[in-house]
Amino acid sequence: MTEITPCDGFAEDYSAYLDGELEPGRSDELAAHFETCALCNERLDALRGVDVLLREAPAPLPASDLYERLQSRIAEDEVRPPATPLPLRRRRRSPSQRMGVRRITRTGFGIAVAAAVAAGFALLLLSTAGPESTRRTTPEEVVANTESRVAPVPTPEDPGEVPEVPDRVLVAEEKGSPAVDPVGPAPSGSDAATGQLLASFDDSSADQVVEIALTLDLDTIEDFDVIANLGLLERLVALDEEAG
Amino acid sequence: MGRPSGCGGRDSNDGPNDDVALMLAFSNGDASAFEVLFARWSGRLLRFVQRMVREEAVAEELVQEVFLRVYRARDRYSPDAKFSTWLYRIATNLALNELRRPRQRDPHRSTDEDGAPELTAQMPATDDVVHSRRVAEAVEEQLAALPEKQRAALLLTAVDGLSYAEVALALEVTEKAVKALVHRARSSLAGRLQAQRSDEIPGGGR
Repeated sequence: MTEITPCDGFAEDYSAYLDGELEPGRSDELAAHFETCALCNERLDALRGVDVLLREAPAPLPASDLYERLQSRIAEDEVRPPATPLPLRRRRRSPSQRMGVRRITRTGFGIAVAAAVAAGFALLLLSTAGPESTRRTTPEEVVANTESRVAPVPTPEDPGEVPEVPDRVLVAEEKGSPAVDPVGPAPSGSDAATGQLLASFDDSSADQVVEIALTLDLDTIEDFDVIANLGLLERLVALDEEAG
Repeated sequence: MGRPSGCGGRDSNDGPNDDVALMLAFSNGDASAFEVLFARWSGRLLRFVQRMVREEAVAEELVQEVFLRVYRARDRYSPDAKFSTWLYRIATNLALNELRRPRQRDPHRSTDEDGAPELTAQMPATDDVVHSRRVAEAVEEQLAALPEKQRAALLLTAVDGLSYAEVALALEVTEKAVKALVHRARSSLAGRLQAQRSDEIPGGGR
């Protein structure tokens, strides 16, 4: 391949010159140069030749039924229900998302608290299971059991879409807005009982921790006072240290 | 109706206002205006998109998609920009998205595999015709080998006649970037074609 070595300072402007995209002064400057420089003239011709070849290729004729096919697509499009702001594709959420972690991120450090609480539960469950236990409850099972109060959990046999349940978190995310629920927490029959249970947490027994884990639901986590969460966290950490 | 000789840009004499008037008429319920716009632009869009995606059937689908989007946007159309710029912007986005989709087949197939009839001994053709076809195939082949944004910038500028400002809108880059893209594409294509000529004709290169 012949390496073209144009005059310094002009090469980058050749195309813009051909396209009429240079400032008048610069364009005049190049025009004057082309009159005296055979090499640059040759290059300019080569570039111009590319355009000629590209334009020579005949435009393909659209298929005769292309407009009819378009009309069919339009008809199909109009029959469809209008797009909703709800996400068409539901993502399979991670355990932390299913636990509602994203919703309490608005509290700033709430995410850390929630994650630590979840981790604390998991550690406690693992460390306090007695030797008589033939099978330990895994953290995933705790999370799954927790969510079972809110929505069905996809099984390994059915790893497909998460069942359609009202989910204002995802809606907010899809709209590009912060994950803040604009209409407040969803009603939950177990809120009061769970809140009471959490507030009265003063026992180090693993049974109570498990009970709390099983009773937690998303809205309660979201509404629960951060200070109370921190208190719970401290106790869980203390329990963890005792156990470990 | 007559087809404009140019396209969307500076060499266009189709009267961009006419396109806007048609689109506004369509917005106001004149369905025939949409058909006129389709007839006016579908061929040129197809040429551009086909050279981008290198597959005729896909290109036709994408052109339909362009007009489907125009159709959907009819109620909120506002003639802020040239109609053609808007159209090419949609087409460019669709083509680039298509190219970025995982593909089953090699996206850099040769022209022959894309349905262009091969030159065979059975086809009666003069030397000139054969030569022209070979040149045309070489151009398409080398064009396809360019990076996609360079290819789009060059086609939109050199073939469809868009200004750098319009190409910048279509590609969502700056005008300065368009200038560089077009120049690189043109220089690269010129060099490749020259090299190909040199290879085919021993001693024929410069």
